[in-house]
Amino acid sequence: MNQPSHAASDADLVRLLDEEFEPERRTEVLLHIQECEACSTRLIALREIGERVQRALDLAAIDPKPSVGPGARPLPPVLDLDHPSSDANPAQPSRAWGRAAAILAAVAALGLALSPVRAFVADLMSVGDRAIRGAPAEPDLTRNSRVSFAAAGGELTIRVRSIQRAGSLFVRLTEAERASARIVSSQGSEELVVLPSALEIVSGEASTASYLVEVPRSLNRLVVELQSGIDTTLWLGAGPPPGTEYQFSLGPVLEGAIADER
Amino acid sequence: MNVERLFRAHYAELFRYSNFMSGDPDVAHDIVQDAFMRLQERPPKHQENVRSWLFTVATNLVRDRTKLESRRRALLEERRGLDASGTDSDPLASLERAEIRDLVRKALGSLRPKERTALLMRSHGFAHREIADALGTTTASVGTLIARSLDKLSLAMPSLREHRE
Repeated sequence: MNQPSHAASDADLVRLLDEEFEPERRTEVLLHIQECEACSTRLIALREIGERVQRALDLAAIDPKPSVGPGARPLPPVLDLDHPSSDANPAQPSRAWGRAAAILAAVAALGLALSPVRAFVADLMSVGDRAIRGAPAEPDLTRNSRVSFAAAGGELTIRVRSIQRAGSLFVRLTEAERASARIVSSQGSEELVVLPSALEIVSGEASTASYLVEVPRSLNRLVVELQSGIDTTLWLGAGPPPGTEYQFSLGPVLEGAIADER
Repeated sequence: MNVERLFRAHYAELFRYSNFMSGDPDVAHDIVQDAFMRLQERPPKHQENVRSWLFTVATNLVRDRTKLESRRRALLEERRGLDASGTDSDPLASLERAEIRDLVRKALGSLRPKERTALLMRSHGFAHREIADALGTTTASVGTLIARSLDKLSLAMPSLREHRE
């Protein structure tokens, strides 16, 4: 942009949009934009492109597959403005609302009269809601049957969070570096939730689903927990051969055995 | 530090970010897992902004995957066909989303890594200071990177407005 020495750079305009300026500098830039049609046009263009890109990103986003991570369970939505996360550093929503309100206030205070800027402000106010609350991306249901993950610190806990009526949990040792899990037989309501050092199996009490978890042979320790409090610790450090498979019958109690040792 | 609580709070957005950065949901999943593993094993000294730390780690993990680019390109070609076939009950809706995803993947792929990182971190609401820290650059450069990436994406996605409106 070829403007006089006091012209606002692209970086300035982005920082203005993102509310990154100190109040004094922001006033300077806003005053300049009031006088400079080129900068006000560029500001509007950057805002519109940003809005368009954000909308495209929202539409193209793929949420974690339902069987992986906390998205599989009724947790507080990370980007829900009405129910912000209680975390100390909550996820930040799009900046559109903050930008709209702050720039509107700044423009009003300065009495800006340039029509593109007014239109811009009006548009900002109407755009904010759309940008933030756009339809969430549909979860990718095409690949929800298998999850892979790393077992943190050489340890992994498999937690069966619900008491199933029946079914089996197979744990197989492999030479692979990463662990993986899948639902072998299902009634449709079972979920696998991967946490940093644990895999949670969540199902209804009426479930008779079975699961296969393959874990690296290098794993030092594996714990299988049942919600009832019964748990089994397998020490794998001694190095059972690959192919060794532990089978647990799922039900009110957890019954485990080595099902296949090669 | 309650890693599980942080995991539940940030998993989804970190996955989306990593997916856009890598172009591969499976890679994104692994990156997020690795980032949380690192959080558990080697947590940051200053824990007042773990979210920013996680995004920085994910950014570095994506960058460290030297073979990622070629795999990503191969997957793009492969998934173009898969996405077009769709799995939704509404084939038209599926096709539209697939087209948009393809368009966005290509557009993001046209950006330099720093531009892509700046743009995506901005879209997740990070301050310029946080983006600058993740990129090892200055806050002044962040605005320039974002403006440049927006211009590039505008050229790469000229039909998106008409596509949706």
